[in-house]
Amino acid sequence: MRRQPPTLAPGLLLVLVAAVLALHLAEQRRAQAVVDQLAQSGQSPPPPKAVSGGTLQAQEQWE
Amino acid sequence: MSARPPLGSVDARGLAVLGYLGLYLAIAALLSTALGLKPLLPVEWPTDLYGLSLVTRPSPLDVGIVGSSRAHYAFLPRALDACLSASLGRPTRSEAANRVTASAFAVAALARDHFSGDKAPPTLVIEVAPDALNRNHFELRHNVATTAEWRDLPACLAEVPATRLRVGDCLSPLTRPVSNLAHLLHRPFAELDHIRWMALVEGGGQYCATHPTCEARNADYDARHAGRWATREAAILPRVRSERFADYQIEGGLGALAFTDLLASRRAAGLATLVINLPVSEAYQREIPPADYEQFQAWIHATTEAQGARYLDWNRGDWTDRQLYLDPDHLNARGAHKATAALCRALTDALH
Repeated sequence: MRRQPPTLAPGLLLVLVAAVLALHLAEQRRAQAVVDQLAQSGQSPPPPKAVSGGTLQAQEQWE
Repeated sequence: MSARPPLGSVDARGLAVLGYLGLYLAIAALLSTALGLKPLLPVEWPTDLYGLSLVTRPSPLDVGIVGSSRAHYAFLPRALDACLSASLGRPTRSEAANRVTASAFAVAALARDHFSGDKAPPTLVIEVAPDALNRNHFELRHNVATTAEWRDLPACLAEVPATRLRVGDCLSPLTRPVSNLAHLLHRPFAELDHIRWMALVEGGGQYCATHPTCEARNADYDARHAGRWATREAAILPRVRSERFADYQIEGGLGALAFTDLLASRRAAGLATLVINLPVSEAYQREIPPADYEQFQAWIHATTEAQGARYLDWNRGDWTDRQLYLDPDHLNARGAHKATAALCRALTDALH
């Protein structure tokens, strides 16, 4: 009998590649939008909320 | 009905599954490398923002800054631009890319990633410290595992017998792309808005300078870290000698090699390099073995001179004020404004 390759794996690979490319393009768009807005307006946006306590703890431990 | 194969026998279908797994891991690694994904580090910093390398900037880069957490706290790229623009009579753009617990090897990798090729700025500022150049740097294994490339393999393997490095660390370019991809898919950043703003608006660095609320925000950050000096005085200072200056040696190490190569490549390209030894508090300086500090000063003076770079030693008398420090070896917002102003003065002549 002819051996069949695993059938699920090629589909998973396609999903992985599509997900990565989608994330890549989305991140590129978000980052570029920040830079473009800054260049057009010349005004810096207000900073986001301060970092969380958990992040501060990690900084104290590692830096 | 066919007979079952005996336990332990090799089945062709099992080999096919392993073969597919290997193929998919290889494809994932190639994909990750092609997209330029980077590892996730324990502390979220603007340097590691994936989008940082994807944007097209409206103006060329004038100054790049690379270093460890000390540089991350010491320089405000947008405050530097405001100062340089006023001095030079034209707009300038500075960007910083620093990494936590970075040895000179990791700092050179940052320069390679962010400020080389067509992204190479006319002036590169490299923060260097005696502990960063220790051949036995206390975080060398982590540094190599997160930043080494295939071209580093021979030098890395040669260092395995003499340092704490292991062969697996040197082979990290094989496995790192897949783990980087896993990080991306997992959306690992807990403070993504914050680091995106720090990286793309503020140009990297801990403290901000572009918005009217920045002064209060920087003060708030320092206030929230009010206990940091005491914490690190108790936890870090007693280990400085035994950990950061263990078997102290510069010559022959991966850090010294990468640092010298970086200076030489910039010199060959006709680009200026400024090397800065940032100040540390007297409490921290007391823990540095004097003989090791002398070795560092002799090496850094000779190397920067030989490679045509300018060396600035700021670890001197006018930086002893405790009020300039967040902890024994990192500046606070006040110290950062002082360091940025000093860097502006040093760069003004170079950029004229």
